[in-house]
Amino acid sequence: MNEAAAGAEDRPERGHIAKAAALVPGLAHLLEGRRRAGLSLLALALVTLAVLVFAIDRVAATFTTGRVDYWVALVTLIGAAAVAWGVGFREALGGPRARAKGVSQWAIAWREFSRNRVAVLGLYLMLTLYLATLLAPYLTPYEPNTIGDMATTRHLSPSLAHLMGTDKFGRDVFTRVLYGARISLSIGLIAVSISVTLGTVVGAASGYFGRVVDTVLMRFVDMFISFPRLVLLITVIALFEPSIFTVIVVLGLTLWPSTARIVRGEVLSLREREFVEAARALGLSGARIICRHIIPNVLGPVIVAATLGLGNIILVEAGLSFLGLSVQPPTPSWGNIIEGGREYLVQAWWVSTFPGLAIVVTVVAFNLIGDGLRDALDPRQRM
Amino acid sequence: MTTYIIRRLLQAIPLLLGIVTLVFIIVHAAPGDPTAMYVQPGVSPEVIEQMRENWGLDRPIHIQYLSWLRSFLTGDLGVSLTQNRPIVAILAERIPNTLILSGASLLLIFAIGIAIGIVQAVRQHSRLDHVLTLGALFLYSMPSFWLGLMLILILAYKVHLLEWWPAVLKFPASGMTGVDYDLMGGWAKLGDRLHHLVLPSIALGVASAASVARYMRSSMLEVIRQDYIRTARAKGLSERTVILKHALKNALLPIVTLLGLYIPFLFSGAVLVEYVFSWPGMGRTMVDAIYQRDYPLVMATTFIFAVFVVIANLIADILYAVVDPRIRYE
Repeated sequence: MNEAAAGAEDRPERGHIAKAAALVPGLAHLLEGRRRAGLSLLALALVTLAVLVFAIDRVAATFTTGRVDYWVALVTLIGAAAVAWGVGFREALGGPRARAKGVSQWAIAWREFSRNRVAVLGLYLMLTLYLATLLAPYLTPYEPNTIGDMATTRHLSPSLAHLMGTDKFGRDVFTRVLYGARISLSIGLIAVSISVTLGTVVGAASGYFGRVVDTVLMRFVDMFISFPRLVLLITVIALFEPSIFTVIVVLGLTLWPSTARIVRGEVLSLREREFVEAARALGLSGARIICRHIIPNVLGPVIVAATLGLGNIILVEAGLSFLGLSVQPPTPSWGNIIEGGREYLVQAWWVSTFPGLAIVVTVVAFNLIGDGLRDALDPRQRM
Repeated sequence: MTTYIIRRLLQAIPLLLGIVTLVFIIVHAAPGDPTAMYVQPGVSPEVIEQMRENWGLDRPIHIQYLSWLRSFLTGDLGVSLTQNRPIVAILAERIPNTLILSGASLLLIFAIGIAIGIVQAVRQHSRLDHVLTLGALFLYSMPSFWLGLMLILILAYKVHLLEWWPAVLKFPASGMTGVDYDLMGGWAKLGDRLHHLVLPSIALGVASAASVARYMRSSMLEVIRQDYIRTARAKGLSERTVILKHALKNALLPIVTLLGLYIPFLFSGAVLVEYVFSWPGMGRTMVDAIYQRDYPLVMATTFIFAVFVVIANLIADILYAVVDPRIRYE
């Protein structure tokens, strides 16, 4: 804060201090009087730092335990830090210049999105959900896997002590649903990242190069799409050992064709535009044109597809764990909690009901965000 | 038109070939082979070697591929490891059951989806429209297997506690027929089957119906804005005739293409729904085969599912060309 005050005092030399401010995200924003953006960036950076300092043993454990939710947390953390520093850096070094150009495409999309009340509701739902999974240990006094006293805590109906009742082993269902959310959301996030990246690359290559590349890749996509998705997944996972890693990889590797189709369609029309022609006339390589000029222009539809795909993948994963082909019990996932309650459905309806409701709420949230994003980023597809 | 259909049929051939190849690659990329389940201390290595030889697993990979291709072309899908009978015989029993379930669902999807879509379009921005949109959002965000469980819980079990609840609306929880099916007369048999069909087809179809309704709504809204509809209204036709006779035909066109989109989705759902409702179809066969590590049966069901999807897409494309003469066939 001292630096900020100093910066406000000697305005003429702002350039120098702004450069120094590049090291602290948000400072440059504050210097320019954009208080809200600056403070939130600063807070984001401080939280990341605090987590890194105070939970360093957990971070180290990521590399030894190989647990997926740890990985997701680490990647999210690094991602958040990178975004905070990146934005701060740009503002500090080229801020005024960048803003002189006017409102960016993303700013327009954000304004459009934030006007859509339902979509914002979805966003809040999703944030609450992620927060709940992060804070799971603080939200419930129980452990997800400790087996309770069979005589006294088996199949207790929902009450204040057990919000969603207890299952056949006397475990608190609310706790298991919370911890299950970690698994389900993590799997969804990683699998979607894999499939979207792969789909974008394949689609862009197919659309840009055309001819033989296009024919071969698109036949391949056709073939993948004509398999009922779940049937293909079940077959592959059953042949390999069902584990969380198999599921993530297989989900990631089987869901890319639809993204590839969308991207290809976009690229086919982009390819003929003047700016691509100009890039080609400058003698840029195919890979560079795709990465620097084409992909940024198809990001809108890709982001929409990813958000809607996230909801879809969570449904598919739930189906797989329901069949026992994903995360193995006792590790909770929404699908296997439902399967666990199936046997005593009539005696203890709450065991299967609540995780299902959790799935519905999550998927609804992602669909709302996805629809909102589509309206904001890709107005042609508005329904 | 005929040439278009023929060309479309020819295009399906490489697709099917690709699917057979993909299935072959998946089987062979997986660790272990079908003999793995027999490897145990009590079985001598020579016996395992003999089995590998009998099943042709010791031959070079391209020979195996060719013989795999030949057996699929001749319709010989091998023998199930656990049931010890030809897979073709097993599938012959199971395929019709899956088709009954998916057929009923498909009917439900399009009938309900189209009806709701029309209502929403006609009453655009009304409270009913908003409620239906919201309801549809929840329905297509719902896992089919969970919906199935909830339907069983409520409509098959809990309603028995209510005395005033009509017996017709107390649905059976599982299977295709009641225990006393063989003793029933002709009409009672049909009634029993329909009764068993209700819950699974709802569980399977509701999500897609909600999504069809969404498409139908936007397609109808687009058509209603067109000039010929204004003309029809100006002629003094009743709103009912305008919507159901003039607008509906054109609004249905994009919906036909959805057919090809929903079939793979429907079969995926069938796997889970058949498992939940103990429906003796292909999906259940597949899940059972996986639990028992009956690889030939898993492969065969996968292949058949894929073939069905190819056929369904073919039908959808041809149907689209038939209903919309503006489509160019070259």
